[in-house]
Amino acid sequence: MIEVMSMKTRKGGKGQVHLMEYVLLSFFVMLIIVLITLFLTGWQMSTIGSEQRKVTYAKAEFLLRAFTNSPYINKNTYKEGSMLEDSKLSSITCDDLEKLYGTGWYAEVESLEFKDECTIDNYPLCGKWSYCKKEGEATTFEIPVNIYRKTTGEIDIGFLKVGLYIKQG
Amino acid sequence: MISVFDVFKIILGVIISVFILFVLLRFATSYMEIGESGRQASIMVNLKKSIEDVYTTGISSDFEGKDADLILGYSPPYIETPVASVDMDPVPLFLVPGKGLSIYRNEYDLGWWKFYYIEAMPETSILFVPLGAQEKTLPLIGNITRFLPSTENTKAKTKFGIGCNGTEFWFGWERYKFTEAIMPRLLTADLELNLCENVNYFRDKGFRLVTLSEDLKEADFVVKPLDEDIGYVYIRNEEGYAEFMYKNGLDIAALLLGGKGLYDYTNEKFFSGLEVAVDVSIKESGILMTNAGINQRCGTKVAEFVGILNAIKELIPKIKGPANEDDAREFALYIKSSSMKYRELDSMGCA
Repeated sequence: MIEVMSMKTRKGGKGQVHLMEYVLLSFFVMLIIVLITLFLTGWQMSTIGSEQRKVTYAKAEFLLRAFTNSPYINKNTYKEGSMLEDSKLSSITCDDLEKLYGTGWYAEVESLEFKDECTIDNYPLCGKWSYCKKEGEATTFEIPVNIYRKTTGEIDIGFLKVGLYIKQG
Repeated sequence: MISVFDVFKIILGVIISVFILFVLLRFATSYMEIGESGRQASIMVNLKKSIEDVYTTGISSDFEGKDADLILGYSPPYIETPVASVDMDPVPLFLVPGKGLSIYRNEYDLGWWKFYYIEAMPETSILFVPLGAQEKTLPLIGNITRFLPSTENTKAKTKFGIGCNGTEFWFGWERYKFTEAIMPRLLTADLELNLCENVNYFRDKGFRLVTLSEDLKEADFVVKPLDEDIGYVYIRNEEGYAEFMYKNGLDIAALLLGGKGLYDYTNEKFFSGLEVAVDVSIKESGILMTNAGINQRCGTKVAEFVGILNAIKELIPKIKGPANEDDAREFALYIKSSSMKYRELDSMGCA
């Protein structure tokens, strides 16, 4: 009688061990699924992040090209663009350009010949034009451009730099 | 015989399997949706880039095939898609949704300033119906056509024609041929044209009929010129006709391709650009006169040019909103004078 009872208890114990095995197995399977889900979500998030960076680069690149071809700062008869006119560069302001291209950027044009910042008073003996204050981290592109000197008809070589601020958060 | 424990194992197994399957299915479905949205988003990013490229280079291109189906509509400056609204600002865009778009950069050239805008359109057929005094209506056709796309270098064509004489009409030329070869002949020909009788035929074929007449006629889109530059456009709707004043061919093109929404948006972009251009030109002339010592001969002409620009500057706030005929006429006159004066300055070597 005692032997039969101890056999039953042993059988019950074995059943509990099996049950524990199943619960543990289920737990690990669930854990793996959760980990895979987290991994894929994280991967997707990083893809979205890199897409956002691409969009920022594309915006900065567009701004740069829009400036090089802008009818507001280019020589009128020069259809191909990249021929910025010094008198127009001296006349246009950050506010004007923000009305046309929105906010969140800065731009600089610098001639290799003259380094003085241009104002209404020192035109045409100057060679640097800055639009909108440079502040914070920005994605910046730079391109060589021609600067047409309206008073002499000469053409200088210079650089146009356009930076688009990276949005935080 | 199956023990109670075996039954328990089966039930537990089934519950866990169903749960795992459910989780996997849900995740796979949403993952596929994300993938499809991502694909659609990248197509729209490509369209935006194509439009921006054409805007900055002036080289026409095509946006082909099934991808164009993703465009649900255009409410300027947003292109509506199943994924999101794509903001096209600051590019002024005339977009007509359809299969296969030709993307073309057009311009309103005043000499001293150019207003660039993009026209993204599927295959389009435009038929002009000039009625009455043809010395007024025929030149207006040329003035409207130059604000519509020239599709010689793209696959989706915009073709022009003229009608109607009964059921007869003349059609099938792209902009260059139509304005350079056909229009000069029409201007000298003694045409007898009437409202098109077979309107349903044109509707079925997707034609856009532009009726030009000094009186309002029974047609969907009527242009009524007051003089060479200004007039009214009437668009038929449920209540009768909506009336819009035009100050140039750009207004008519905007109304023809996108109705009131595009007309308002184009005016907003045009006037904000014009304001900046006028300010820059006035300042530029000032700098050149004071700092660069412009000679007497140029100085007088430059002063006249600045006077015209100042007059335009004063008129802009009045003309931006709902304008009256006198202001519109004055504005059109000053715009024309500014171009002429600039040409004069240019020919004298003073520009």
